[in-house]
Amino acid sequence: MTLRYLPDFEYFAPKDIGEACRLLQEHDRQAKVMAGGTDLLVHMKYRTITPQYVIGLKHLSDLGYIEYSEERGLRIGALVTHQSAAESLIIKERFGALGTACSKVGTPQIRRMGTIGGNLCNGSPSSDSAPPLIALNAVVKLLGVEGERVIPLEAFFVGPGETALIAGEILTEIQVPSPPLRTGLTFVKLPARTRVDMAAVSTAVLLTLGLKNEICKDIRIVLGAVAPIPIRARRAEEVLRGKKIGDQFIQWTAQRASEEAQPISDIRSSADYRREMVKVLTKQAIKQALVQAQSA
Amino acid sequence: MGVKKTGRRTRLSSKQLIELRVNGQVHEIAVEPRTTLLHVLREDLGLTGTKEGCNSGDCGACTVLIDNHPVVSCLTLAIEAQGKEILTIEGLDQQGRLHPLQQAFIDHYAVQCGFCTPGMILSAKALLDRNSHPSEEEVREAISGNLCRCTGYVKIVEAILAVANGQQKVSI
Repeated sequence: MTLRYLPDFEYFAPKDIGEACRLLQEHDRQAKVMAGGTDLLVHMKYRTITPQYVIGLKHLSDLGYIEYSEERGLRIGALVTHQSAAESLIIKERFGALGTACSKVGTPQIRRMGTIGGNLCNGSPSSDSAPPLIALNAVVKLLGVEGERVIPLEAFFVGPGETALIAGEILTEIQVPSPPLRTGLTFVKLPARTRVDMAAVSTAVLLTLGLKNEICKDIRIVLGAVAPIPIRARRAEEVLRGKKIGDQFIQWTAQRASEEAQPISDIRSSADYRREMVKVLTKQAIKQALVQAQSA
Repeated sequence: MGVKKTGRRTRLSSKQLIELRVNGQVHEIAVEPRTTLLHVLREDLGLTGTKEGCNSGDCGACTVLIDNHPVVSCLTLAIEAQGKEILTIEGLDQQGRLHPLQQAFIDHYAVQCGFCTPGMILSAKALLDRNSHPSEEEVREAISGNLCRCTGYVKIVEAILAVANGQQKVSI
């Protein structure tokens, strides 16, 4: 099948997100929304998705914001590009690992075009922004013709390429609460190549220390690309939560995380290697998060 | 999803007239929604400096600058490129005088088959316009979306750094 031509479709440029929802609802399975188009247009070229109607969102400039306040936390409009997020000083200062994750997506060109919202809605378990966002307890705002709902990002991923979006719904915002004091956040990505590749394995860790001690008050470990969706390694978290952090506990935590992973063998890596790398990356991520938390 | 394949698919969309600003000139073209910017540049405007490589956004051969940002034109719908400043490789030279980057690529033997070169130079230009003294690592990061099968990148990086370090003269 030649990639040269996209399949035929009708294009709408709605004047606001409300109109976009109405169009999406009206045409249901025949329509797709398009942000940067870096996933959708590729699917369409390969004919795996062939909508009759494409609802363009790129021109909706009021969804490209990155805002932060202590009370409301971080709010990212769905149309923020990965490059904007990677360059954002707000994100760099308080949510550094999220900026790092966004800077590792695809290529410079793709980062300029592709949006965080679009990437999440693509529903890939290898999404780079998903592990740090889930580790941060992010929620997503979904707008439909009936109104809005907010669900945890952790619940947004349902299966490979599948999300919790229902007919007529569009993801409009990602909300990230301010992390507590003495918290470190890290993201480690192991691609198959050095650059320009999806993760073979990725790990995000959010670690909060006690205010006056080195006890692990809270830990969230999220694994990417080793399960049908980005997953929390909850049993691994239990190993470390409430304990004084030391090498042995970190080792056990990493071991438990590698047991919780459900990797497959594919073009990027074998299941065995992925499982082993979950252990390595988790250990690395915890240690880096610890250093950050201690200096926070 | 989509129309049942019974031979010729019923046309869903008709052509519309759009205006694109390319290399400082405004062009009026009739396009379908599915027409990519890559297609318009090469087929309608005859600007074949921009190349069709993988056609799926990975190789960067189709890179152009839109509002001075590098993008892949194979994944850009022509209708969505309206109202923007589009720069292709043809827009770099000034009345026949090569841009320093173009000259540097020649002088440093950074061109073999030349297929990656237009996209490569535009990615480099976008970098230098933002960061006039990049490190080698920053140069490599900036061109990481432009694949070259011939050179091994060494001379390309050298050429870009030469321009950054002011070692490159503009052609006479």
